[in-house]
Amino acid sequence: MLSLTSRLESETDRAIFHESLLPRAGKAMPAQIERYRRVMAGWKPSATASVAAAGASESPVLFPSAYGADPTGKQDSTAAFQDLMQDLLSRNAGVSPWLGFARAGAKLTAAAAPSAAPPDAR
Amino acid sequence: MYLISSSIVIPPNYGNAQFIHGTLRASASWSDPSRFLVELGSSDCHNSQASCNMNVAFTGILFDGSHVAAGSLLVTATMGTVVGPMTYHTGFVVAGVQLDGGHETMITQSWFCEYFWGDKRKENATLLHGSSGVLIDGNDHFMLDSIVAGAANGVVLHGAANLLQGVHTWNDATAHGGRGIVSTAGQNRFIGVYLDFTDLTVVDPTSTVVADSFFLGGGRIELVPKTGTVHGFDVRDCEFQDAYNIPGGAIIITNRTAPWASGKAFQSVTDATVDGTTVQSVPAFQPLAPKVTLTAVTDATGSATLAFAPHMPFTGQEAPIQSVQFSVASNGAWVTGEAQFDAAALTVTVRTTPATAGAAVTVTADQSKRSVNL
Repeated sequence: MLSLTSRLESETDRAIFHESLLPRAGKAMPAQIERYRRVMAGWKPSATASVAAAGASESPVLFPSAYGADPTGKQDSTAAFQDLMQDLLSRNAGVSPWLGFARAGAKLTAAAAPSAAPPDAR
Repeated sequence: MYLISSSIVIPPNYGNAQFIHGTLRASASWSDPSRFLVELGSSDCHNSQASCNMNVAFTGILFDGSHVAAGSLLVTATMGTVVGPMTYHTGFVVAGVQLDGGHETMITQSWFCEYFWGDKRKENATLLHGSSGVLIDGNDHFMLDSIVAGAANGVVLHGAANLLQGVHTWNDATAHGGRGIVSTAGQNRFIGVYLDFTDLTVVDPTSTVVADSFFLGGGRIELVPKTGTVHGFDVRDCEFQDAYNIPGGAIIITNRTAPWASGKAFQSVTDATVDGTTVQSVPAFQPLAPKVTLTAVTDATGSATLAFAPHMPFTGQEAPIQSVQFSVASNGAWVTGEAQFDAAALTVTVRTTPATAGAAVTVTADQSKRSVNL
């Protein structure tokens, strides 16, 4: 989700950059800048906000202490970390179907078969 | 800081996770000395890239194996892992980070020391357990801008096509049987590394590059024959300084009794180049290179014999002279020269016509075959 936001910001930056190179008033506007302006005119902040909110819920931060781990290091926290990892892995999203990764939220007990050969197989 | 007594395991087919901030320490009741604090992936991975985890990072974490765990982090069959920045690995017995298979793990801006730098146990070969700061048994990995300050071996590479850049090994282990960097596979590149009182050991150098690097306090390049083949070994623009501890003071040596040696001599040397090196040290410290230029003055018979063996890393039997270039000039007299070499003895003789004493002779001899003349 953050990457989407960054990309839009980057396009904004590019538009600003190009605008700084614009000829002054009265000169023709380059088609590229016109295209960026059309892109930015169609950009709806509300859509970005909803995407960011979805990202927050999909990428939580898990704190060991919430699972009973002892942050002072006096007590063994192995069981707490096992609980944390179980929670993490139950939420963890897959990366790429062609690598045989799990779909989001899937519970994995064995490697899924690749659905297709990776495009950059060496 | 959290104590754990068994490994945190991330099984195959998981990705998109980042472990950040804090300390993980093995407790005194650590369950299995062969296991690492965190283990990512498994060798039970059967896709065409042999990589079943992706996009997992470890950032800002101190790992302490407490000398009971094998190490900090075992990464198996994983593509796209990042270790660092700001990770610190100590108390490991096998390795700080071990990479088995996979591709393109990036270890960056991290420290590795089995013992802290002020701990005298780091100078005890037995207590060092033969440990490695980083052990890479895979291809295409990166280790960047990182330090190994205390381990038997700084970085050990058993895979190919890995890049070490900006890696500083000052594990002080050479005098205790250890090494700074060891490469037992080809196509590895060492750019801007700093061998600080430690050796860079290369077994059967193949398509290996050492460039812009600094060797201090007797740090050398050690060549070890296993099959005995050298094919593409390029040392460029390196500095060697203060070889106080080295008998003979050679910057490139051959070691036929190192742990990875087969007992064979070198059989073939092709495209081995040492160029642009700077040497500053005691007089006995000298560069050994497969291609060497020497100068001499003709004697009363009008000839000069130049012995290259003391200046070359390979014996004449392993790598006889392949080519010779020479020039001869006399102060005030016209002379021509002829040259003859004894390839196996690594000597070149130049004589002048007419026989002229005191003529200046310059000879370049190369004991490496050249596959392509560029």
